[in-house]
Amino acid sequence: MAKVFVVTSGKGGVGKTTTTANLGAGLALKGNKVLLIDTDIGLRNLDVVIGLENRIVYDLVDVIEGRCRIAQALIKDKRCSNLCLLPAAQIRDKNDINGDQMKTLIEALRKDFDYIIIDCPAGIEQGFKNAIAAADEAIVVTTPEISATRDADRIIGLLEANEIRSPKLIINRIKMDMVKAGNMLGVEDILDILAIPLLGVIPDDENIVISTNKGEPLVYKGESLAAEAYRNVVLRMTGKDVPFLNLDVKHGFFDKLKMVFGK
Amino acid sequence: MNNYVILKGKKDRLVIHLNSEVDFLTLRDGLVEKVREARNFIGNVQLAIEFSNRILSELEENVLIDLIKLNSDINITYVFSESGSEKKDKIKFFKAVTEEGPTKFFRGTLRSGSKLEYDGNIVILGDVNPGALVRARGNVIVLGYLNGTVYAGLDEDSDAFIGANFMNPIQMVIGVVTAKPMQKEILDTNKIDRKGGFKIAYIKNNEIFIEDFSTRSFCE
Repeated sequence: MAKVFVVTSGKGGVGKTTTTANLGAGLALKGNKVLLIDTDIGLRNLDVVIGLENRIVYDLVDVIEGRCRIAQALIKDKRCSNLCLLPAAQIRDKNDINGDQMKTLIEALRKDFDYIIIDCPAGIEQGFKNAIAAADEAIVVTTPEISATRDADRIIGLLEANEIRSPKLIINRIKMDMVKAGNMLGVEDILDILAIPLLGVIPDDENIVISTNKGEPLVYKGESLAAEAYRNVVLRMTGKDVPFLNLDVKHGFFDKLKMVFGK
Repeated sequence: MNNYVILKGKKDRLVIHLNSEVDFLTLRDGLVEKVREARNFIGNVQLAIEFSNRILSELEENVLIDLIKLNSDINITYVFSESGSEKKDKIKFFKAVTEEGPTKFFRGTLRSGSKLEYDGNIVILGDVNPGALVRARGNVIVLGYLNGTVYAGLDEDSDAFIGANFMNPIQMVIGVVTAKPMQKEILDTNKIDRKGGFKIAYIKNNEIFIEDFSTRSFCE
Protein backbone atom coordinates (compact mmCIF):
# COMPACT_ATOMS: atom_id res chain seq x y z
CA MET A 1 0.00 0.00 0.00
CA ALA A 2 1.41 3.31 -1.03
CA LYS A 3 2.15 6.22 1.26
CA VAL A 4 0.67 9.32 -0.32
CA PHE A 5 2.67 12.55 -0.04
CA VAL A 6 1.65 15.96 -1.29
CA VAL A 7 4.38 18.49 -2.12
CA THR A 8 3.02 21.97 -1.56
CA SER A 9 4.15 25.50 -0.78
CA GLY A 10 1.47 28.14 -1.28
CA LYS A 11 3.78 30.42 -3.19
CA GLY A 12 4.75 29.62 -6.75
CA GLY A 13 8.27 29.16 -8.02
CA VAL A 14 9.84 27.84 -4.85
CA GLY A 15 10.63 24.43 -6.33
CA LYS A 16 7.64 22.17 -5.70
CA THR A 17 7.85 20.53 -9.10
CA THR A 18 11.63 20.15 -9.04
CA THR A 19 11.39 18.67 -5.57
CA THR A 20 8.64 16.27 -6.62
CA ALA A 21 10.70 15.12 -9.61
CA ASN A 22 13.86 14.61 -7.60
CA LEU A 23 12.24 12.90 -4.65
CA GLY A 24 10.28 10.64 -6.99
CA ALA A 25 13.35 9.70 -9.00
CA GLY A 26 15.38 9.25 -5.82
CA LEU A 27 12.82 6.95 -4.22
CA ALA A 28 12.51 4.97 -7.47
CA LEU A 29 16.30 4.52 -7.68
CA LYS A 30 16.16 2.98 -4.22
CA GLY A 31 13.89 0.29 -5.64
CA ASN A 32 10.52 1.68 -4.59
CA LYS A 33 7.59 1.76 -6.96
CA VAL A 34 6.78 5.44 -7.28
CA LEU A 35 3.94 7.33 -8.95
CA LEU A 36 4.10 11.09 -9.48
CA ILE A 37 0.80 12.89 -10.02
CA ASP A 38 0.71 16.41 -11.39
CA THR A 39 -2.39 18.25 -10.17
CA ASP A 40 -1.45 21.59 -11.70
CA ILE A 41 -4.17 21.35 -14.33
CA GLY A 42 -3.80 24.03 -16.97
CA LEU A 43 -0.22 24.86 -16.01
CA ARG A 44 1.40 21.46 -15.99
CA ASN A 45 5.17 21.34 -15.62
CA LEU A 46 6.15 18.11 -13.94
CA ASP A 47 6.18 16.25 -17.25
CA VAL A 48 8.62 18.81 -18.64
CA VAL A 49 10.93 18.78 -15.63
CA ILE A 50 11.08 14.99 -15.68
CA GLY A 51 11.45 14.86 -19.47
CA LEU A 52 8.32 12.90 -20.35
CA GLU A 53 6.31 15.61 -22.06
CA ASN A 54 6.53 14.02 -25.52
CA ARG A 55 4.97 10.78 -24.31
CA ILE A 56 1.71 12.10 -22.90
CA VAL A 57 -1.40 10.58 -24.48
CA TYR A 58 -4.00 10.67 -21.72
CA ASP A 59 -3.98 12.75 -18.57
CA LEU A 60 -5.47 13.10 -15.09
CA VAL A 61 -8.75 14.63 -16.27
CA ASP A 62 -9.18 11.91 -18.91
CA VAL A 63 -8.83 9.27 -16.21
CA ILE A 64 -11.25 11.00 -13.86
CA GLU A 65 -13.80 11.58 -16.57
CA GLY A 66 -13.50 7.97 -17.70
CA ARG A 67 -12.14 8.49 -21.19
CA CYS A 68 -9.37 5.98 -20.57
CA ARG A 69 -8.28 3.33 -18.12
CA ILE A 70 -5.87 4.41 -15.40
CA ALA A 71 -3.08 2.23 -16.79
CA GLN A 72 -3.32 3.93 -20.18
CA ALA A 73 -2.54 7.33 -18.68
CA LEU A 74 0.48 6.27 -16.62
CA ILE A 75 3.81 7.03 -18.28
CA LYS A 76 6.74 4.85 -17.32
CA ASP A 77 10.13 6.54 -17.14
CA LYS A 78 12.53 4.59 -19.35
CA ARG A 79 15.55 5.60 -17.30
CA CYS A 80 14.08 4.03 -14.18
CA SER A 81 11.31 1.51 -14.65
CA ASN A 82 10.02 1.99 -11.09
CA LEU A 83 8.96 5.56 -11.79
CA CYS A 84 5.57 6.47 -13.27
CA LEU A 85 3.96 9.79 -14.04
CA LEU A 86 0.29 10.71 -14.22
CA PRO A 87 0.36 14.07 -16.02
CA ALA A 88 -2.13 16.92 -15.58
CA ALA A 89 -4.33 18.14 -18.41
CA GLN A 90 -3.11 21.29 -20.08
CA ILE A 91 -6.30 22.45 -21.79
CA ARG A 92 -8.63 22.12 -18.82
CA ASP A 93 -8.67 23.86 -15.48
CA LYS A 94 -8.54 23.04 -11.81
CA ASN A 95 -12.29 23.27 -11.25
CA ASP A 96 -12.88 20.34 -13.62
CA ILE A 97 -12.09 17.86 -10.88
CA ASN A 98 -12.79 17.72 -7.15
CA GLY A 99 -11.34 16.26 -4.01
CA ASP A 100 -13.64 13.24 -3.86
CA GLN A 101 -12.66 12.20 -7.38
CA MET A 102 -8.99 12.47 -6.38
CA LYS A 103 -9.65 10.29 -3.35
CA THR A 104 -11.32 7.61 -5.46
CA LEU A 105 -8.49 7.72 -7.99
CA ILE A 106 -5.77 7.42 -5.38
CA GLU A 107 -7.55 4.60 -3.57
CA ALA A 108 -7.57 2.72 -6.88
CA LEU A 109 -3.82 3.34 -7.38
CA ARG A 110 -2.64 2.82 -3.83
CA LYS A 111 -2.14 -0.94 -4.00
CA ASP A 112 0.18 -0.78 -7.02
CA PHE A 113 2.83 1.54 -5.59
CA ASP A 114 5.07 2.14 -2.59
CA TYR A 115 4.99 5.93 -2.83
CA ILE A 116 2.59 8.31 -4.51
CA ILE A 117 3.80 11.90 -4.67
CA ILE A 118 1.33 14.60 -5.63
CA ASP A 119 2.69 17.83 -7.08
CA CYS A 120 0.41 20.60 -5.80
CA PRO A 121 -0.21 23.82 -7.74
CA ALA A 122 0.54 27.21 -6.21
CA GLY A 123 -2.29 28.92 -4.39
CA ILE A 124 -4.90 27.76 -1.90
CA GLU A 125 -7.90 27.37 -4.19
CA GLN A 126 -9.46 24.33 -5.84
CA GLY A 127 -6.13 23.00 -7.17
CA PHE A 128 -4.73 22.93 -3.66
CA LYS A 129 -7.87 21.27 -2.33
CA ASN A 130 -7.67 18.58 -5.04
CA ALA A 131 -4.03 17.93 -4.30
CA ILE A 132 -4.36 17.50 -0.54
CA ALA A 133 -7.69 15.64 -0.57
CA ALA A 134 -6.14 12.19 -0.69
CA ALA A 135 -2.75 12.85 0.89
CA ASP A 136 -1.58 11.07 4.04
CA GLU A 137 1.40 13.32 4.60
CA ALA A 138 2.58 16.67 3.36
CA ILE A 139 5.96 18.09 2.41
CA VAL A 140 6.03 21.87 2.54
CA VAL A 141 8.65 23.52 0.34
CA THR A 142 9.80 27.04 1.06
CA THR A 143 12.68 29.29 0.12
CA PRO A 144 14.42 31.56 2.61
CA GLU A 145 12.33 34.54 1.52
CA ILE A 146 9.78 36.29 3.69
CA SER A 147 7.03 35.90 1.11
CA ALA A 148 7.62 32.17 0.72
CA THR A 149 7.82 31.57 4.48
CA ARG A 150 4.65 33.55 5.05
CA ASP A 151 2.81 31.44 2.48
CA ALA A 152 4.27 28.22 3.86
CA ASP A 153 2.95 29.24 7.28
CA ARG A 154 -0.52 29.76 5.83
CA ILE A 155 -0.34 26.40 4.05
CA ILE A 156 0.68 24.60 7.24
CA GLY A 157 -2.35 26.12 8.95
CA LEU A 158 -4.61 24.91 6.13
CA LEU A 159 -3.06 21.43 6.14
CA GLU A 160 -3.64 21.14 9.87
CA ALA A 161 -7.22 22.32 9.41
CA ASN A 162 -7.62 19.53 6.83
CA GLU A 163 -6.38 16.87 9.22
CA ILE A 164 -3.01 16.40 7.59
CA ARG A 165 -0.96 16.35 10.76
CA SER A 166 2.70 17.24 11.14
CA PRO A 167 3.80 18.30 7.67
CA LYS A 168 7.55 18.20 7.00
CA LEU A 169 9.62 21.09 5.73
CA ILE A 170 12.12 21.39 2.89
CA ILE A 171 14.02 24.65 2.67
CA ASN A 172 15.04 25.16 -0.94
CA ARG A 173 17.59 27.42 -2.64
CA ILE A 174 19.39 28.57 0.47
CA LYS A 175 22.56 30.63 0.02
CA MET A 176 24.73 30.15 3.06
CA ASP A 177 26.99 33.13 2.38
CA MET A 178 23.93 35.42 2.24
CA VAL A 179 22.61 33.94 5.46
CA LYS A 180 25.94 34.60 7.13
CA ALA A 181 25.93 38.19 5.95
CA GLY A 182 22.48 38.59 7.50
CA ASN A 183 20.78 39.22 4.16
CA MET A 184 18.74 36.04 4.06
CA LEU A 185 16.68 34.12 6.59
CA GLY A 186 18.60 31.22 8.09
CA VAL A 187 17.35 27.70 8.68
CA GLU A 188 16.88 28.50 12.36
CA ASP A 189 14.84 31.62 11.64
CA ILE A 190 12.48 29.70 9.38
CA LEU A 191 12.11 26.85 11.86
CA ASP A 192 11.34 29.31 14.66
CA ILE A 193 8.35 30.60 12.75
CA LEU A 194 7.07 27.48 11.03
CA ALA A 195 7.80 25.12 13.93
CA ILE A 196 7.52 21.87 11.93
CA PRO A 197 10.12 19.09 11.51
CA LEU A 198 12.83 19.72 8.93
CA LEU A 199 13.15 17.15 6.16
CA GLY A 200 15.98 18.78 4.25
CA VAL A 201 17.85 21.89 3.20
CA ILE A 202 18.67 22.22 -0.51
CA PRO A 203 21.38 24.72 -1.47
CA ASP A 204 20.94 27.08 -4.39
CA ASP A 205 22.60 25.34 -7.32
CA GLU A 206 22.95 26.16 -11.01
CA ASN A 207 22.94 22.46 -11.79
CA ILE A 208 19.24 22.37 -10.89
CA VAL A 209 18.45 24.79 -13.71
CA ILE A 210 20.53 22.74 -16.13
CA SER A 211 18.91 19.46 -15.12
CA THR A 212 15.42 20.98 -15.28
CA ASN A 213 16.09 22.25 -18.78
CA LYS A 214 17.37 18.84 -19.81
CA GLY A 215 14.37 17.11 -18.32
CA GLU A 216 16.55 14.90 -16.19
CA PRO A 217 16.20 14.99 -12.39
CA LEU A 218 19.48 15.82 -10.70
CA VAL A 219 19.46 12.74 -8.49
CA TYR A 220 19.93 10.49 -11.53
CA LYS A 221 23.54 11.42 -12.01
CA GLY A 222 24.33 14.74 -10.42
CA GLU A 223 27.39 14.99 -8.20
CA SER A 224 26.47 18.42 -6.91
CA LEU A 225 25.62 19.42 -3.37
CA ALA A 226 21.93 19.88 -4.31
CA ALA A 227 21.77 16.31 -5.67
CA GLU A 228 23.36 15.08 -2.47
CA ALA A 229 20.85 17.05 -0.41
CA TYR A 230 17.92 15.55 -2.35
CA ARG A 231 19.31 12.04 -1.88
CA ASN A 232 19.46 12.68 1.85
CA VAL A 233 15.83 13.82 1.84
CA VAL A 234 14.93 10.57 0.09
CA LEU A 235 16.72 8.59 2.80
CA ARG A 236 14.90 10.52 5.50
CA MET A 237 11.57 9.82 3.77
CA THR A 238 12.32 6.11 3.97
CA GLY A 239 12.84 6.47 7.69
CA LYS A 240 16.63 6.70 7.87
CA ASP A 241 18.30 9.18 10.16
CA VAL A 242 20.79 11.12 8.03
CA PRO A 243 22.72 14.12 9.36
CA PHE A 244 22.20 17.43 7.57
CA LEU A 245 24.83 18.44 5.01
CA ASN A 246 27.26 21.16 5.83
CA LEU A 247 26.35 23.69 3.17
CA ASP A 248 29.02 26.25 4.01
CA VAL A 249 30.68 27.43 0.84
CA LYS A 250 34.32 26.59 0.65
CA HIS A 251 36.38 29.49 -0.52
CA GLY A 252 39.43 28.87 -2.66
CA PHE A 253 42.81 30.47 -2.05
CA PHE A 254 42.19 33.33 -4.49
CA ASP A 255 38.77 34.07 -3.06
CA LYS A 256 40.35 34.44 0.35
CA LEU A 257 43.04 36.73 -1.07
CA LYS A 258 40.31 38.86 -2.65
CA MET A 259 38.55 39.06 0.69
CA VAL A 260 41.70 40.12 2.46
CA PHE A 261 42.54 42.83 -0.04
CA GLY A 262 39.04 44.21 -0.12
CA LYS A 263 36.50 44.29 -2.87
CA MET B 1 -21.77 32.82 67.68
CA ASN B 2 -18.73 35.05 67.60
CA ASN B 3 -18.31 38.43 66.04
CA TYR B 4 -14.60 38.41 65.44
CA VAL B 5 -15.20 37.99 61.76
CA ILE B 6 -17.91 39.68 59.71
CA LEU B 7 -18.53 38.88 56.04
CA LYS B 8 -19.91 41.68 53.88
CA GLY B 9 -20.65 41.72 50.18
CA LYS B 10 -19.50 44.77 48.26
CA LYS B 11 -20.17 45.35 44.60
CA ASP B 12 -17.11 43.57 43.26
CA ARG B 13 -15.76 41.68 46.24
CA LEU B 14 -16.37 39.93 49.51
CA VAL B 15 -15.10 42.03 52.40
CA ILE B 16 -13.95 40.09 55.42
CA HIS B 17 -13.95 42.37 58.40
CA LEU B 18 -11.49 41.07 61.00
CA ASN B 19 -11.37 41.88 64.67
CA SER B 20 -8.11 43.68 65.26
CA GLU B 21 -7.60 42.65 68.87
CA VAL B 22 -8.12 38.92 69.39
CA ASP B 23 -5.22 36.53 68.86
CA PHE B 24 -4.79 34.96 65.48
CA LEU B 25 -5.90 31.46 66.47
CA THR B 26 -9.25 32.69 67.77
CA LEU B 27 -9.64 34.80 64.66
CA ARG B 28 -8.86 31.77 62.51
CA ASP B 29 -11.53 29.64 64.19
CA GLY B 30 -13.99 32.51 63.89
CA LEU B 31 -13.35 32.76 60.16
CA VAL B 32 -13.82 29.03 59.61
CA GLU B 33 -17.13 29.14 61.45
CA LYS B 34 -18.41 32.10 59.45
CA VAL B 35 -17.34 30.75 56.13
CA ARG B 36 -18.99 27.40 56.81
CA GLU B 37 -22.21 29.12 57.80
CA ALA B 38 -22.22 31.08 54.59
CA ARG B 39 -21.15 28.20 52.38
CA ASN B 40 -24.58 27.49 50.96
CA PHE B 41 -25.49 31.14 50.80
CA ILE B 42 -22.46 32.17 48.77
CA GLY B 43 -22.26 29.01 46.70
CA ASN B 44 -19.81 28.29 43.92
CA VAL B 45 -18.77 31.71 42.59
CA GLN B 46 -15.74 33.57 41.41
CA LEU B 47 -15.01 36.26 43.90
CA ALA B 48 -12.36 38.74 44.86
CA ILE B 49 -11.94 39.00 48.61
CA GLU B 50 -10.68 41.75 50.86
CA PHE B 51 -9.40 41.50 54.41
CA SER B 52 -10.14 44.68 56.31
CA ASN B 53 -9.58 46.21 59.72
CA ARG B 54 -6.46 44.20 60.51
CA ILE B 55 -2.95 44.17 59.12
CA LEU B 56 -2.05 40.58 58.25
CA SER B 57 1.38 39.17 57.64
CA GLU B 58 1.81 37.25 54.42
CA LEU B 59 1.81 33.96 56.33
CA GLU B 60 -1.38 34.81 58.19
CA GLU B 61 -3.07 35.90 55.00
CA ASN B 62 -2.16 32.63 53.30
CA VAL B 63 -3.49 30.61 56.23
CA LEU B 64 -6.81 32.45 56.05
CA ILE B 65 -7.04 32.06 52.28
CA ASP B 66 -6.38 28.33 52.53
CA LEU B 67 -9.08 28.02 55.17
CA ILE B 68 -11.58 29.85 52.98
CA LYS B 69 -10.77 27.58 50.04
CA LEU B 70 -11.11 24.53 52.24
CA ASN B 71 -14.40 25.48 53.85
CA SER B 72 -16.26 27.07 50.95
CA ASP B 73 -16.79 26.74 47.22
CA ILE B 74 -15.53 30.24 46.52
CA ASN B 75 -13.08 30.53 43.66
CA ILE B 76 -10.86 33.39 44.80
CA THR B 77 -9.83 35.57 41.88
CA TYR B 78 -7.91 38.18 43.80
CA VAL B 79 -7.10 39.16 47.33
CA PHE B 80 -7.16 42.79 48.37
CA SER B 81 -5.30 43.33 51.57
CA GLU B 82 -4.97 46.29 53.85
CA SER B 83 -1.39 47.36 54.16
CA GLY B 84 0.96 50.17 53.22
CA SER B 85 0.38 52.59 50.35
CA GLU B 86 2.91 50.72 48.21
CA LYS B 87 0.31 48.14 47.35
CA LYS B 88 -2.44 50.58 46.51
CA ASP B 89 -1.44 51.00 42.86
CA LYS B 90 -1.04 47.31 42.41
CA ILE B 91 -4.62 46.96 43.52
CA LYS B 92 -5.67 49.39 40.85
CA PHE B 93 -3.92 47.34 38.20
CA PHE B 94 -5.43 44.03 39.22
CA LYS B 95 -8.82 45.54 39.77
CA ALA B 96 -8.77 46.47 36.12
CA VAL B 97 -8.15 42.84 35.26
CA THR B 98 -11.03 41.50 37.32
CA GLU B 99 -13.42 44.06 35.92
CA GLU B 100 -12.51 43.65 32.28
CA GLY B 101 -14.73 40.69 31.76
CA PRO B 102 -14.26 37.27 30.26
CA THR B 103 -11.03 35.82 28.95
CA LYS B 104 -10.50 33.54 25.99
CA PHE B 105 -7.74 30.96 26.27
CA PHE B 106 -6.41 29.80 22.91
CA ARG B 107 -4.17 26.77 22.75
CA GLY B 108 -2.00 26.39 19.66
CA THR B 109 -0.20 28.47 17.09
CA LEU B 110 -1.93 31.18 15.10
CA ARG B 111 -0.42 30.89 11.64
CA SER B 112 -0.47 33.38 8.80
CA GLY B 113 -4.00 34.04 7.61
CA SER B 114 -5.72 33.03 10.82
CA LYS B 115 -7.61 35.44 13.00
CA LEU B 116 -8.57 35.38 16.67
CA GLU B 117 -11.10 37.93 17.88
CA TYR B 118 -12.74 38.06 21.27
CA ASP B 119 -15.00 40.37 23.16
CA GLY B 120 -12.82 40.31 26.24
CA ASN B 121 -9.24 39.36 27.05
CA ILE B 122 -7.19 36.87 25.08
CA VAL B 123 -4.49 34.56 26.37
CA ILE B 124 -2.63 32.58 23.70
CA LEU B 125 -0.78 29.47 24.79
CA GLY B 126 1.32 29.29 21.66
CA ASP B 127 2.80 31.53 18.97
CA VAL B 128 1.32 34.31 16.88
CA ASN B 129 3.09 34.13 13.53
CA PRO B 130 3.55 36.97 11.05
CA GLY B 131 0.37 37.40 9.02
CA ALA B 132 -1.92 36.32 11.87
CA LEU B 133 -4.31 38.77 13.53
CA VAL B 134 -5.34 39.00 17.18
CA ARG B 135 -8.03 41.44 18.23
CA ALA B 136 -9.28 41.74 21.81
CA ARG B 137 -11.61 44.12 23.53
CA GLY B 138 -9.42 43.87 26.59
CA ASN B 139 -5.85 42.72 27.14
CA VAL B 140 -3.75 40.27 25.16
CA ILE B 141 -1.15 37.92 26.58
CA VAL B 142 0.93 35.64 24.38
CA LEU B 143 2.88 32.87 26.08
CA GLY B 144 5.08 32.33 23.05
CA TYR B 145 6.39 34.28 20.08
CA LEU B 146 4.37 37.34 19.16
CA ASN B 147 5.24 38.16 15.53
CA GLY B 148 1.82 38.93 14.08
CA THR B 149 -0.53 41.89 14.23
CA VAL B 150 -2.22 42.58 17.53
CA TYR B 151 -4.98 44.93 18.64
CA ALA B 152 -5.85 45.36 22.31
CA GLY B 153 -8.35 47.65 23.97
CA LEU B 154 -10.92 48.23 21.26
CA ASP B 155 -13.42 50.87 22.34
CA GLU B 156 -10.47 53.22 22.72
CA ASP B 157 -9.61 51.61 26.02
CA SER B 158 -6.20 52.99 26.82
CA ASP B 159 -5.76 50.94 30.00
CA ALA B 160 -5.35 47.74 28.03
CA PHE B 161 -1.99 46.06 27.78
CA ILE B 162 -0.25 43.49 25.61
CA GLY B 163 2.20 41.01 27.08
CA ALA B 164 4.36 38.45 25.29
CA ASN B 165 7.24 36.15 26.03
CA PHE B 166 8.94 37.05 22.75
CA MET B 167 7.70 40.44 21.65
CA ASN B 168 8.28 41.31 17.99
CA PRO B 169 4.90 42.17 16.43
CA ILE B 170 4.55 43.51 12.93
CA GLN B 171 1.91 45.94 14.10
CA MET B 172 0.59 46.70 17.54
CA VAL B 173 -2.36 48.91 18.47
CA ILE B 174 -3.64 49.65 21.97
CA GLY B 175 -6.82 51.69 22.09
CA VAL B 176 -6.26 54.20 19.32
CA VAL B 177 -2.49 54.36 19.63
CA THR B 178 -0.32 52.51 17.13
CA ALA B 179 3.14 51.49 18.25
CA LYS B 180 6.16 52.64 16.33
CA PRO B 181 7.44 49.89 14.04
CA MET B 182 9.62 47.54 16.02
CA GLN B 183 11.52 46.07 13.12
CA LYS B 184 13.98 48.08 11.13
CA GLU B 185 14.00 45.73 8.16
CA ILE B 186 11.43 43.42 6.64
CA LEU B 187 13.77 40.50 7.21
CA ASP B 188 13.38 41.10 10.94
CA THR B 189 9.62 40.53 10.87
CA ASN B 190 10.19 36.82 10.43
CA LYS B 191 12.83 36.60 13.09
CA ILE B 192 11.93 36.07 16.68
CA ASP B 193 13.16 38.20 19.49
CA ARG B 194 15.79 35.76 20.72
CA LYS B 195 16.55 37.56 23.93
CA GLY B 196 13.02 36.82 25.04
CA GLY B 197 11.83 37.53 28.53
CA PHE B 198 8.26 38.55 29.20
CA LYS B 199 7.67 42.06 27.88
CA ILE B 200 4.65 44.21 28.37
CA ALA B 201 3.30 47.05 26.24
CA TYR B 202 1.03 49.76 27.62
CA ILE B 203 0.10 53.35 27.01
CA LYS B 204 1.81 56.16 28.85
CA ASN B 205 1.52 59.79 27.74
CA ASN B 206 -0.35 58.73 24.62
CA GLU B 207 2.50 56.55 23.46
CA ILE B 208 3.06 52.84 23.61
CA PHE B 209 5.82 51.79 25.95
CA ILE B 210 7.31 48.33 25.75
CA GLU B 211 9.42 47.15 28.61
CA ASP B 212 10.56 44.09 30.47
CA PHE B 213 7.82 43.04 32.79
CA SER B 214 8.45 43.42 36.45
CA THR B 215 5.88 43.86 39.17
CA ARG B 216 7.45 47.17 40.00
CA SER B 217 6.66 48.69 36.65
CA PHE B 218 2.98 48.29 37.39
CA CYS B 219 3.13 49.44 40.98
CA GLU B 220 4.73 52.77 40.32
